[in-house]
Amino acid sequence: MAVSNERDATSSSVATEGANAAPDPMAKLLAKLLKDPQFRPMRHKFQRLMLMHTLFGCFLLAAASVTVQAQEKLVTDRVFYIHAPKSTSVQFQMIVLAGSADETNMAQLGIAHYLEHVVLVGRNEGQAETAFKFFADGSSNGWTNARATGYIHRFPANAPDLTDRLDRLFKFYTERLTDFAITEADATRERNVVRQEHDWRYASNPFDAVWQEVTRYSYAGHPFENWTIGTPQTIGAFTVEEARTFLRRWYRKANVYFIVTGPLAPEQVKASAEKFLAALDAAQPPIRTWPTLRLAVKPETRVFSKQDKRITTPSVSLSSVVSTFEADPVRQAAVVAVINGFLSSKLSGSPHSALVEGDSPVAAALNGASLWRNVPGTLALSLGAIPEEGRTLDEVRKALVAYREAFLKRGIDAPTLERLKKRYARDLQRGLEEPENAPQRLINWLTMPFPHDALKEWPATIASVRLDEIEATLKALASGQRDAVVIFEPNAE
Amino acid sequence: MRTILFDMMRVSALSFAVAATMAFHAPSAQAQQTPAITAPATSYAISDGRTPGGIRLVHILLKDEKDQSFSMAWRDRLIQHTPEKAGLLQLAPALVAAGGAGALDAGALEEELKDIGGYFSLSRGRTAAFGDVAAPRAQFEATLKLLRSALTEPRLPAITLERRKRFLLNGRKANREKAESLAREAMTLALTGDHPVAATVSLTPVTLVSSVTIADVDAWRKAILARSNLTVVSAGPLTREAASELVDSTFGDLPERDSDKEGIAFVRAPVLARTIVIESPVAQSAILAGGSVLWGGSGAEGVSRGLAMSVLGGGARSRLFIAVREKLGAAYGASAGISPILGRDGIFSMEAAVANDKVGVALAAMRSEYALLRDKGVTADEIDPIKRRMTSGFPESMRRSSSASSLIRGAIQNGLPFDAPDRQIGWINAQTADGINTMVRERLPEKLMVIIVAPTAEGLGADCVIKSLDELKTCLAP
Repeated sequence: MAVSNERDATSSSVATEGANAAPDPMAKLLAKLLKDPQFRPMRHKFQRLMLMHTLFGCFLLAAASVTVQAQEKLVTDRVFYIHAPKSTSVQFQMIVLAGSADETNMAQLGIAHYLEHVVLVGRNEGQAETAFKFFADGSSNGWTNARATGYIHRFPANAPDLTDRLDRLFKFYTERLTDFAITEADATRERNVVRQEHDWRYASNPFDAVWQEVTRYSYAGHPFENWTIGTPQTIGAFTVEEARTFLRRWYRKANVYFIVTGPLAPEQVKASAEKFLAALDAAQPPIRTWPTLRLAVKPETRVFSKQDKRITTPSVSLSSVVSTFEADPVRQAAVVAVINGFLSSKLSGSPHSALVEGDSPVAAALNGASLWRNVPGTLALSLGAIPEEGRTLDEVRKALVAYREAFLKRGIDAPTLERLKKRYARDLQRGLEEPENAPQRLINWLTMPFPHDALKEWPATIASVRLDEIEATLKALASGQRDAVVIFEPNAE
Repeated sequence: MRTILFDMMRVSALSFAVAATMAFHAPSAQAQQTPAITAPATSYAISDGRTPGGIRLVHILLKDEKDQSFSMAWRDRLIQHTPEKAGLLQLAPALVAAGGAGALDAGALEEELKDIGGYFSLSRGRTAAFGDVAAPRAQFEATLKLLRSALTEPRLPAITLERRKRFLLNGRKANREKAESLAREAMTLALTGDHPVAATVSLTPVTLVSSVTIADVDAWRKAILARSNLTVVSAGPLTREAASELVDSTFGDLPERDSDKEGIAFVRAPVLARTIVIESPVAQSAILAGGSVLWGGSGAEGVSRGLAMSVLGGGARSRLFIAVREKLGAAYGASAGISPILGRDGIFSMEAAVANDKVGVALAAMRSEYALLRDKGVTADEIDPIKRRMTSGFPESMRRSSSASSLIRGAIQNGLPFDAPDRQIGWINAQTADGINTMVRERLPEKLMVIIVAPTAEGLGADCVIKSLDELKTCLAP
């Protein structure tokens, strides 16, 4: 029942969870550092970065010669089957193509996430146990972000009642694609649980309240301006009827995908799915408004700063949002992925090499460096750093601005682009060798939302990214930025 | 929900070989034989022996794996008898591994590894220094060359050490500002007393960290990262012969190590049944209730421990989860576990981050579940599904090279035979509710020490109220 805000420091996004990129020593070190609450801002950026790596990392920058052998097979309408012959467990997922950005009037109050909780802990008639505790020898969970909601169940593949388990799961979710039942007491209790989740993830640290403000400023007027979980005020006002309204609007067969992964026969999955899903109404959901909504960005800069006793390491981040023209969203995503490969590296000209290395570095460590395409037609560039001993926050801020300007002009050179492509082609190949990676890759793709057909072309798309496309994207980033400067400082004491 | 997600693989892995704090056992007489001996009737084909160069090598062949992995352990009990080295041991391994080596600075080394798809790291435990190296089979030799360079000619940049010192101290301070980590530190310090391992948690005084020099790091490298105290576990497609050759070419030039001084034995103190409240203006309170235990995490004992902890606080079906979240709605989750101190000694704890106005009822519920566990124990209905999850998940954790080599290394360190993976399923299947309940009654403390971090101690029945960790000792007087 995790929330995964697109710009959420503790998002624990499913994408991050599923990351299977080749580890490297510094990434591991960074990951250790990031467990430290002191590095929450860094984690914020880092998780964003890892999201990108997950989405595009194992599946990124492939050479043209690499062919994607799709591991997923559409066995029946809306149901993917992924054969994982060596796996000892079965994984069942339902993905709803609706998240907090799809709430009524795009209000992002947190209803989508609350509904996820309610679905997992509610009991329809005849249901002895909640979905959260479906199988005693398995596990169950859910997640929600701005774009989608997911439910996941795992159980041993050698369960003697495997067919029955598949039936139970398809039956349960078939029923949830119509309605749900929950007692008032359970609904109230779960509202309290969501509030505790909010406090545990966000209110217990000095950083997230500031990042929420930054998000509201950066994406003002767009549903992505609020975080998925909502606020203490909106959480306190949740009603079951609001959750039910959301369910009836979006939880429809035509708006969900099922993904079953394991050492199963496809016929087994198909038979079980068809038994329950066939009778469902095939009506389409409403047309989503946010994917076509363009963010109106005017050039401006706002400084957000926080001094707090709980902050022990000062940091500065520079977050820029721009509107862009997107002729081809998939191609734009490919260009962004290439640029991200560079920003996260320590290659010559990278943020790390310019700010942390050298004879007179301004920063002791980077606090994230990434580019993402969060909202269609919008790009966001984030650079952050922790001052080197003796350097001031203002010096770091100026260095970040100077680096950004220089990078947006200079871009990436051809040999570096080829190096990144070669590196990622290998990672792609390794990722494809593990069928267990396939569900996450598929989910990340479908929830962008990108058409499934375009997935198999992704390696070729990446391989064909040209320097002039990178330059064009960087040029777009250089114009009309809505900048947020985010400063965290320990208390003066 | 991630935090309470019950991961079947993790449970198996943890119960198989919990953290690296158990006494590191020198190679057995059998292990020193050459040629290597192979486990009888093994399902994983694990063998143990010495390389031609004399380094202990435990080998598992995973023919279909694309990646090759080595997991290393260098026996080192420095932390068990020399608390003043606590800062050094936190800083040195990572600086050696990631500070650059030979002609490559840190950034170039990292990018070189990315180019070849390889990876290596060094870290430290309470009984050994650890290393892990992995890469696609075709790039494994190239990755090992980079590792060898890091071990023998590290750059050890002073600026990186100074940065890491600052981050480490800042992190320590930040952890004390967060309710859950503050409660954990308080519990650990209360139960480890004056033993040297307490310094690894508190890093107090700060000079433990601030005084570390590059010379200290280099001296540590030369003294500890040697060949005579090294065990390598190889997992992947390499044959034993090929792995032996690579072990010798990578580690063969390392120096011999002086004999390792015995650590100071950990003496468990009786659990003080006190409720200590640390008042702090937190948004959400932390409750930690527990005590010291002698219940190892490996072998059959480890499986029984894993089952007991799972029933009590290991997921959505656990008793604590139902009591604190499902019935009270007081927390997002609640858990129970045993974290290691030294050897089979550990700290048992139940933990929950709860609404500030529900601390009292949540604590009462946790106490009640604990009393019920000690009184009535677990049932077959509760443990059988977890056993199924364990037996299903364990083979998964032995399927990939990095995971397999790491697991076997942990097993050996915990005093298990090298072919422990072949016995794991048997250990799981042999568990009964009666057997676990005997362990619960014998091993878990009768009384609980409770640490609460909350805005106010009012109404919590506190025996001692303090404002910071520095005052903790005032709460621990007999």
